[in-house]
Amino acid sequence: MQHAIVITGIGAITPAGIGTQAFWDAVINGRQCFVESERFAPIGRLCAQVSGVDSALSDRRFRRAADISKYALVAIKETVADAGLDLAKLDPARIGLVMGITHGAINFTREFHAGFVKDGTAGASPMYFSDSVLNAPAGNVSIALNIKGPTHTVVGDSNAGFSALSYGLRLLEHGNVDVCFIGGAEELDAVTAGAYAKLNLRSPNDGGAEDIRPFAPDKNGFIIGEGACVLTLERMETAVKRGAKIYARIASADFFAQPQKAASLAPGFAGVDVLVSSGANGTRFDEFEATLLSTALSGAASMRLFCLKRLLGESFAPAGVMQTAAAALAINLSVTPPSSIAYPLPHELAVCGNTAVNAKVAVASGAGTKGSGYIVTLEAPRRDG
Amino acid sequence: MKRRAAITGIGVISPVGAGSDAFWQGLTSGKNAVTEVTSFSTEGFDTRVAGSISFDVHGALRWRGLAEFAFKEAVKDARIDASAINGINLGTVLGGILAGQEAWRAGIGALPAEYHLYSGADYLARKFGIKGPVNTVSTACASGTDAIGMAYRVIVWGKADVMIAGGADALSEFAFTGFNCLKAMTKTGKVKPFSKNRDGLALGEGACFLVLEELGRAQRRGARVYGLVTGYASRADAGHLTAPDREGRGLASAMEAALKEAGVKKPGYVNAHGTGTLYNDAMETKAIKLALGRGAYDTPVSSIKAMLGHSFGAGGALEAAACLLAIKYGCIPPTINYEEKDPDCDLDYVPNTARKAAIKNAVSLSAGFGGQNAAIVFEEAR
Repeated sequence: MQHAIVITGIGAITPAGIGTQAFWDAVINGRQCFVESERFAPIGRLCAQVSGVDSALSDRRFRRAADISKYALVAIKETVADAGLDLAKLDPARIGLVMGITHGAINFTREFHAGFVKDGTAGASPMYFSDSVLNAPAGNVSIALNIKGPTHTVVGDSNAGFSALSYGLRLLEHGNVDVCFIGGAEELDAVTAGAYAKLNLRSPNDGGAEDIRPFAPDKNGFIIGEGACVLTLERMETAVKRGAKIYARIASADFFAQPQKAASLAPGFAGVDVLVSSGANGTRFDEFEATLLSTALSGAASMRLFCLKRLLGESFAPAGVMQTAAAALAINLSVTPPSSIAYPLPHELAVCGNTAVNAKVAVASGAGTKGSGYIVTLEAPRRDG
Repeated sequence: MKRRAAITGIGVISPVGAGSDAFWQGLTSGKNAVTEVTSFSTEGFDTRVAGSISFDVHGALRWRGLAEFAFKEAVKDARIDASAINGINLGTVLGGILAGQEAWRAGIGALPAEYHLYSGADYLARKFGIKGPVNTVSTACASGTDAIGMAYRVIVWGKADVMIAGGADALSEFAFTGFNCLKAMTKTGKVKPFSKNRDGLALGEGACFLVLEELGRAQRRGARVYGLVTGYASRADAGHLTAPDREGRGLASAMEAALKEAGVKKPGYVNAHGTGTLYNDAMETKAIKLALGRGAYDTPVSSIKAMLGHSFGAGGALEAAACLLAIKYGCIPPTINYEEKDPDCDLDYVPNTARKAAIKNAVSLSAGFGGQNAAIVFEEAR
């Protein structure tokens, strides 16, 4: 690594509430944040939805933006404040922004199409159209904070947040930017909720209990969620120089195309205290992840397994960033979140358990389509870099 | 030693032709492929024209079909096995999720998994056995340029030796309707970039992929090298979601940063974003002057969108291919339909006819919704 990169700020808006504190409270108390949504036509299943974004959105210029943009705006504002950054003092062209997105402003996309299908050109709204592009959240965030450096939107499945982190990390390592915000955002909508139900990926997908049981033999689908999470990344020396609070150092962020490849993570997970897994209860995705982790876990001692999506649902792109935030908070606060898993785990995850430790090294892992995944390792910061 | 990124393969499908030879022949002959739309009714719209491709995949999977065509061409052109490719960066704006109006018409809940914007890149990875990072880059109309620029970074950073990167999008009622309600499309049926009587853009479609390869690897296998990527920058306007910065500061900043990274003071050719709208072309002219100073006046600038239309995610990738072919063949494609000199657009736009010129390097500019700007520099391989 050219430079040590650290996390100096966290911003989150999740089904647990507005802000990182609400997020962490849910994590540490094992509180599941599932409700029956009243926002779209009931389809008889739980979801994990964000409430109160409009009152949290202080910048009224964006009051008519899509929810996904509002979530991103609330999250980035919090991470900037948390990092104690005065962006006006930085060169805007040296600030980077990399957002991971899965479906984008699907509410507006649906409204735009509905207007056009019903009333032709007269029914099409320019407002819905311009906000439908998948980089609109990043665009709105850059406008709100005057970010003028590399501004990227990477689109993908639940790995997209990790992809954003990985690219932002390299921009910092190689000196392309001085500060990089990396994040993910998604919004709920009847279209995506319906599509995943149709794909038989949502709980319950075979009539069993409507609950998330990651890695359990009777896992039967995820509970769909939404929200945004944005992290502030800086080079260690910059953060130390300005006396910033440092949550954790990013020791590695690697993509694995095939589960077996994680074996290259020698010496594996020896020394890892907490594993914040994707654990979406999404049937084959859990199996991909267990396989991905198994080789890396083979040399590890016991560690705490924590599955964030058990509490906050499957929010896709932002989920990986939320997992990374949970891992960083666990290190910063020397706390291990409870796993609350009371059923036997598959043999690949045999070393994972409920043991409480003071977290010094934490891993966030993701699994996506085709068995690909990310492993992000965070460590307690050593000020000698 | 500093790693360098070479382009060893080009795959194109565009309204002026499929395959890079036909594409180049179309561009240099000034072929106008912006013609009447036949794939859907344009009744009630401001315009009836777009750059369309005769291609037998329709509906939500059309863009993916175009992408696959260009992907195969690029791999074939590079004379490599697809399994040697470490990763894919596919730039797209609409994909199926925005462009697939058929399923939206069919009703809520009908959207299949193939509609995900990332499904195209995943499909290519699965079909051609690409194991590495598979990214979908969506930065509005800068997507194709950013996808290539980000792949260049990955190679220079040592994270991959071979990447395939580009862009794809299909013509759709969604975008046609959207740009119609933004009043951005030409009413005269002719895209006239930088011309005083320009009156808007036409949409288009297409796909283009480049094979990017670490130079040493390319040389060791004796690959044909079209050129090198030597500089790239992404910059945001941070001003307005749809309107570009009127002074072109964001685009100028991207251009300056990319040229600085490449160590190029004055490029041999600027491939402009050049949509043919009043504001883009005036803004872009200012941006080029901001970045090049007096040197802007004797630098050839052209827009191939007058021939192709604006094909979103494919646009920047097709323009990258045009830059590489311009360097290779020593010829600059023209800005066709150029009719009237505009005092606000007073550069050398290579009007109407291609120009022979032995250029060593070229920069391609892209701008898009969200205040996105991107610039990428290509140089001849010495």
